[in-house]
Amino acid sequence: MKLLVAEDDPFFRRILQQLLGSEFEVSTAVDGNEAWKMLKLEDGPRLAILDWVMPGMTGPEICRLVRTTPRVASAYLILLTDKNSAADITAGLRAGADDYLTKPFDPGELRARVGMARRIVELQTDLATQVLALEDALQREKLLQTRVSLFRPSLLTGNLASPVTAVAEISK
Amino acid sequence: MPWSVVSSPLWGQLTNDPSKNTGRRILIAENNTANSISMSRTLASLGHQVVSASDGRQALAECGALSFDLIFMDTECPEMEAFATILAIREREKAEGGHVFIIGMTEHPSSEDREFCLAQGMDGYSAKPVSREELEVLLGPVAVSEPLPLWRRPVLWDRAKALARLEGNEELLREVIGIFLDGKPKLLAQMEQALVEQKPRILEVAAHGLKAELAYLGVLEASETARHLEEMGKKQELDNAKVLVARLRIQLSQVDGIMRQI
Repeated sequence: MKLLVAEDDPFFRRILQQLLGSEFEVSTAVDGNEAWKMLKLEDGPRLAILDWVMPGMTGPEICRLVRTTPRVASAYLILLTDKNSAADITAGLRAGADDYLTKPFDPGELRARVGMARRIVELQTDLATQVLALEDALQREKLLQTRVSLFRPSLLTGNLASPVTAVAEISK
Repeated sequence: MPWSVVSSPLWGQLTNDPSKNTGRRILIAENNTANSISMSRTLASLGHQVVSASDGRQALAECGALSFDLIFMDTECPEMEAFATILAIREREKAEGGHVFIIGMTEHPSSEDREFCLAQGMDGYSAKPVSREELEVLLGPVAVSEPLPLWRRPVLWDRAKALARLEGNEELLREVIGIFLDGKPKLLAQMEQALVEQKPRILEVAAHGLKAELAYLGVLEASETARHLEEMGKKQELDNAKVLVARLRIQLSQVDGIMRQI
C-alpha cells in the first residue's frame, strides 16, 4: 500500500520513511504544496502522515482541502504534531484529520496507528469495489431492459423474417 | 585529540577542599597541540588542574560541563571562534552568575588587538608562547581571588531511549544523528540572526524544529531550553532570549561532543 510522509524536517522524514518502509511503499514530500500535489494524483497514496507545521500548506490546511475534493476525500490522514493540548487536537480533527500522532512518537504506537489506518483504507477500497460492482450490475440490468423492451414489439408480432431478409439483400 | 565531556580527566579528583591543594581548574582552549601540551605541563607543575580543548565547540562543551576558574583562549585560530565562544560564556554568566577569568593568547600581539579583546569580554591578554614566568603573572589575580564554586554538570543524553525509538536500529540512529548534527548550526545561526533582526517568528520556527529533534533523541535539558525559546518567539517576547540561546549553544556543544564519539 502507498503511504505519503509529508514532513519538512529531514530528521523525521528519514525516521518515518525508514520505520515504515518495510510495510509500505513510502513516498515523501518536503512541504505542504508538494504533499497536496501527490495526494490528488489519480493513483496517489490513500494514506498520509502530514506534519502540522510545514512551509506552504500546513497539515490541517491539506486535511481541509482533501475533504472538500470529491475524488480524494476519503483518504486516511494522520496529523503529526507536538501540539498535544486538547484544543489543538480538536482543531486538527475538525480540519478533517482521521487521527494524530504526537512527537516524540513511540514506534509501537506509530505502527499501531498506521496499521489501523491500513485496515480502514483496505475496507474502504473493498467497499468501493463492491459498490462499483453493484452499480455495474445495475447498469447492465437497465441496459438489458432497454434493449429487450426495444425488441419486444417485433418478437410479439413474430415479424422476425423481414430484417434478416434485408441484411441478406445488402450482403449480396 | 582524545576528548570527552562526560569523562573529563579531572572529574575523579575534583575538590574545593583547600587542604587538598589541587590548585585551580583551568581550561586551555588552544588549537596548537604542542603549545597546549607545554602549557598544560607547566600549569600542572604549578599545582593546577588542566583540561584542554582544541576548538570552540569543545571549549564550550567543557565550560558547560564543569566550572573553571580560568580559561586561556587562542584568539586567532578560526576553529576556536574565540569571540563567539566568549560571548556565549558571558551571556550564560549574566543569567547564572559567576565570572570566569578569560585570557586571550595571540602570536601577533598589538595594542589595538588588546583593546579589542578586552572590549569583547576578556580579562587578560598575552603573547604566545607563554613562558612560565608570564603564566605566574597571569595567574596572579586568580590565585588571590576566591575559587569559583565547584560544579559539574554531566549532560544527560538518553541514548537508550533514542535507540528504542528507532527499534534498536543502530545504523538508523547514526544516520539521524548525522542529520541532526548537520542541521544544528544553521538553526542556531537562524535563532541568533532572529534576535539581531528582532524577528520572533523565525526564532519560533527554528526553536520548534530543534526542540522536536532533541526530544526525539532523548536530549531533554536542551530540548526544554529550545521549548522556552519557541514560546518566547510565539509570544514575541525576545528580552531574555539571548541568554537562553547562549545556554542552548553550550548545551548543544556538549551533546555534539558526546554524539560524535559514537
